[in-house]
Amino acid sequence: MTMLLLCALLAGLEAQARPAVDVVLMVDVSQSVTYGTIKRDRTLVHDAGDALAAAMVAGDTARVGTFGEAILLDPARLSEGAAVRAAADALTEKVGGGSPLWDALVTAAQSLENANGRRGIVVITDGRSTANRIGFADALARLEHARVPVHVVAFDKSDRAIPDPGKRLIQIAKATGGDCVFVERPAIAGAVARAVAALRARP
Amino acid sequence: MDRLVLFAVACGLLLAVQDRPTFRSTSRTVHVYATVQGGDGRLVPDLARDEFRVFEDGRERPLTVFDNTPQAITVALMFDMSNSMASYLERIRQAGGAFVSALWDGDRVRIGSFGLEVAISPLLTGDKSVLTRILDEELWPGGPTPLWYATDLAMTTLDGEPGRRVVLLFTDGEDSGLFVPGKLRDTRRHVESGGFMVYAVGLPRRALADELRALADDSGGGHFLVHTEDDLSSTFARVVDELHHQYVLGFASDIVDGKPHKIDVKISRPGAKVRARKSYVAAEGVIR
Repeated sequence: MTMLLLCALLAGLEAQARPAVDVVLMVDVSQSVTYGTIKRDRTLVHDAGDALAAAMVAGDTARVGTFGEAILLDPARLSEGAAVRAAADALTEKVGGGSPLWDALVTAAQSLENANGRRGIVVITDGRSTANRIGFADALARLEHARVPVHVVAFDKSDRAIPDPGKRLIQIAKATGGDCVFVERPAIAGAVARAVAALRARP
Repeated sequence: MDRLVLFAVACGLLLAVQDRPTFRSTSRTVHVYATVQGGDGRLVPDLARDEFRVFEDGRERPLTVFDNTPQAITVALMFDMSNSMASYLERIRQAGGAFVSALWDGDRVRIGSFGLEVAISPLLTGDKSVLTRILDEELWPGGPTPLWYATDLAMTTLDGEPGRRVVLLFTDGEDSGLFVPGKLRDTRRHVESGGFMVYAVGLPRRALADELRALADDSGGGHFLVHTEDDLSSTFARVVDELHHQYVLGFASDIVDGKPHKIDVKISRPGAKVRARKSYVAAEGVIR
């Protein structure tokens, strides 16, 4: 009996230490991110979904979406890591096309409208936004209004720094209370985990 | 008595209509958009109907449509953003701005680019602030030159649009065929079957690919090589002006064989030259 009470107490303390979050993970699967000389990189969504699933604790909910040829985001909130992994893997074949980054972020924010508590967007992108219905300024205003922090995991395969796609990514992260980190491909999973941790640590 | 006569006449007419065999006309209008230039290269907008002659497979057809009033345009404006174009980005934006500035009410434009990605805006609009925003935010240099795939995709985004459809390409090179599918043969077929006009603008010292120039010529469009980078904006504005001042011609055709047929447009104005598409596909449904 004492043991059970102790376990319950510890669980309560852990829940306090690791409060639940509601996360939308959006992965850029446009041509500029997934192209390869031999074949396309279809593993990015899998790796990102895996990282998100590993970072989840009891009470968390998550959704996984992609943007490229289309914006794909299943509205169902998933609370199990296995379900998050499965949702990510279901999106691995649909890669290529443009990069409607701003449209995707607004879509993600809309899906969090009714979420309570800590919530946020983690986006993996190279920042080369194209084929958007919504412009940057409009998207920024909508995200600020929605009070949804955007954590950007920026990942640029190209060697073209002009114009710098990172500028707008930093701006959108800063304005929404999120963060923007620039990483190489192997470091993406770690960056996703840190972004989820940052959301959880928000007051 | 009068009523009886009327009734008899009406019955007679009804019988006559019923006895008459039914013919379903398959005659459809083939539209041809023509640009006329004088010897000095300036547009000639004042030709009369009887100054045009149109031939289908070598046989002259009477004109059933003639319109020389300024026309609104529907254009996919495609920018080559491959590696070799990176240093021209600001010029390209300026040229795109000149194109947007020259638009009229009723014109609609969709902006796209090709390089690392083939990305085409979902917005087909005449809103100049939106188009300027796209030019400012959505052009990213880098990557190969998937010219044919980009041209084909641009046409696909306009497939459902009525009237004259134009693809305007700004490019410096030949198709590199990397990362994406796309073949000249398929693009050429799409141009012909869809009745698209293709325009191409090339940079100084970099000739446009022969295949692209031929495609533009055959479609009734045009190709321009700017002499200096300073000419870019004026060249784009000139293309808009040309598109606004094309003649709309049409002739009736009863051919439905799904095959390409030659079109030849001639004018009688001395010293003037005409450009128009050189073929159409006599497919079922609406002829493009």
